[in-house]
Amino acid sequence: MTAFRQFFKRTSLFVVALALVGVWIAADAVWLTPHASAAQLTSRKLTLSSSALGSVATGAALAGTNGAKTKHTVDFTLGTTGTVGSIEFLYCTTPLPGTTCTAPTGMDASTVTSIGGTSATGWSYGTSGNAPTASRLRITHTAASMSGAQDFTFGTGSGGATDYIKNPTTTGTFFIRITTYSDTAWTTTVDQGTVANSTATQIAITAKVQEVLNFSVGSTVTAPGSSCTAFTDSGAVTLGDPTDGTLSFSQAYDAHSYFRVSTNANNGTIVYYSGDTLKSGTNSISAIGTSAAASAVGTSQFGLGLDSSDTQAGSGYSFTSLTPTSPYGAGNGTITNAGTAQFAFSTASVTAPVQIASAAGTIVCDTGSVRYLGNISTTTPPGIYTTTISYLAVPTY
Amino acid sequence: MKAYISRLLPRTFAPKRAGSIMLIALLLFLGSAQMIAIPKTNALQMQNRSLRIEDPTAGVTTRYTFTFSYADTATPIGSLLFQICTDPFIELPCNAPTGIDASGATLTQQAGETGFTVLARQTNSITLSRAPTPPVANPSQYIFDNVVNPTGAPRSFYVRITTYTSLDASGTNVDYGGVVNATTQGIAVSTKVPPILKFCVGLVLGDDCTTADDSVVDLGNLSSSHVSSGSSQLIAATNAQFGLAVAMYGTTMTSGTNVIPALGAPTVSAPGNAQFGLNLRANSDPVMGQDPGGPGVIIPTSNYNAPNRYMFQTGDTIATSPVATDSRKLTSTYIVNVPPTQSPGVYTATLTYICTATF
Repeated sequence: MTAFRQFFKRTSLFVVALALVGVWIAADAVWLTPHASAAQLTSRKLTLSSSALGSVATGAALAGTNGAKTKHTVDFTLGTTGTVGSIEFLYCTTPLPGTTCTAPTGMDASTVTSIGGTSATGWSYGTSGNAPTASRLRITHTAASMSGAQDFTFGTGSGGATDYIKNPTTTGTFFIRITTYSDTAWTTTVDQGTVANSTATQIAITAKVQEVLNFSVGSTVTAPGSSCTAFTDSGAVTLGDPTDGTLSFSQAYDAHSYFRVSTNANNGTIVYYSGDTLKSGTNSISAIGTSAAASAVGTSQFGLGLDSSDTQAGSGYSFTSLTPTSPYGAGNGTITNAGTAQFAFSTASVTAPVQIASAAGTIVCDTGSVRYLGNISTTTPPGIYTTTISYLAVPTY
Repeated sequence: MKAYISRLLPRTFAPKRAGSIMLIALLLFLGSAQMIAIPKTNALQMQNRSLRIEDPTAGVTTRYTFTFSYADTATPIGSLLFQICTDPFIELPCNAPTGIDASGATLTQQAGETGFTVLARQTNSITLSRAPTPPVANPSQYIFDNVVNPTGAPRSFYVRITTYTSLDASGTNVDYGGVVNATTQGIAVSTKVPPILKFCVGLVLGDDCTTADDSVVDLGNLSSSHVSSGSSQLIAATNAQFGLAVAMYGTTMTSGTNVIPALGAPTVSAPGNAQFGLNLRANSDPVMGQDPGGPGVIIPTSNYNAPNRYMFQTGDTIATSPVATDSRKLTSTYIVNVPPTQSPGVYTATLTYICTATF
């Protein structure tokens, strides 16, 4: 008897459990396929103004880089021609209507205030309990027969400043379950459909532009070409008669060297020279002075100036950005006695480089032609005279 | 479950213990991070920054001048780090340019934000330090002497400048900035000044030798009653260290075997006597000649330097300069006197002037 009661008791529990399972299955069957008669929305899509995460606020609202303030455009074609009074857009992490909807993490649609798109006329958001929430938008209008393609945009009213949707803050696919209703209270389902889209990590492209200064000097002209080719020669300049390199008290001589500069320094560049006058032991050829002066044949003179006439068929002097600094900008002209060319030279440049040209901004490729003047008097002691003139560029970034 | 895991894993890997280890590791990491410089890529960039090198020649010891404006003027700055590298990017390891040497650098001047002293110097870096203060004085300038330029072929190199709140350039930088400059070879200008001797002779010369012409002095018909005179000129100059000497060679005036005797010593003109001589001065008896003129320092020798006194001796040095001299024009005045008994004829003399410079 006891065994019978125990068996009966266990059987009853089993039956009750079985019944509960049956009820759950039946209910689930109803809820999982609640609207078997609803037609499916077709040609449906969700377009995002940005796929960036909702935590990314780069750029202006509604810009492609801004996931914090986006607009969502939903397009679909009604599956049923008939009366439609309201539509629900439900943001979920899974697509199937009737299943539990988990809102995408970080998603927030509660800030939308306007409805845009070609189908927006007459539609408005629900109010009170049907107002926009973080993951649900309900819109309604006067119930009317509708058919065909529909287009709604959410989050454009203020240019995205205050009327926007915040994307999910995690990467991945999210869905909008769309349901149309024949009434205006989101009760009687007509059509259903789901659209999907995805947030994605933005591709961060970085590049470095380093400070650039290409500065070279030389005594042999080479064409700058498209890459502003640097001078690479030894920088040796012989000043004097071409046959033997001697100066004369009865004739002035000149020679040229060149500097070439390109830089992206946007706050300007200054080119300086530094060096002594021509010397031979303790003897020297007099520096022409710090003021512009012409050649005086028979007088001991050493000077330099920028020679704008020495264009060398496009390879020599070519100042586009640089401007010669006075008194070094008039080295072009004649060097006969009291000629038109003007020169200057400061021996103090040995310790305090002297500015010879400058630019206010960047320099694509400028070439400077420096013309040297040599004159001697009859008393200039004989000898081999040399000096080294350094040119330096100081770009300011 | 926790107990289960504890049984499966060694004790040191139990979750609680593992968490402790991770926490300790994190603290160690954070602690160590305070002792090294951490590039902060979103730090503010210094403005108007530049590097000026007094001498861009490769390998020379020279002066580096850094000028810039602090970008963050609110955060106290206690140290500056100058790193000389082959690129300007503070995110990348710093490779020192070949040959650079800042280990002997000295901070010789500072302007704007001051109060820094050299804390550390290495081959390619200099660290300055001071009591942390917000850098409000812009622009600022720091000048270092005794920095050795990179060696080798001319090339660009960079200096990364970073600022720190710490005293030793540790921790995260506040500002950063890259500057660039380049070594270049100098322009070697050479020339030669040859030994110079400018010398010319003519009847009338300008200020130089370009107008020298004619060489015949015509004294006309000689007379015992008055002196006959004429002149010629010469210009000389030299850059010879030991100057020059002008010598005169020739004969007195002759006509076949007839001779007008030369004056053997400086003598005044005496018409009616046989005399031939010259000097290099302005004379009044006769009125003839000019004193030496021009910027040079050549002077007549004594025998030919007395006005109104004349002589002639072949081979005589008539003018000298002990040093290099600019152009000097000398005028030779010739006089001839003859006695009534002087044989008739055409009398001539050829004089040769020779200028010798001693270098």
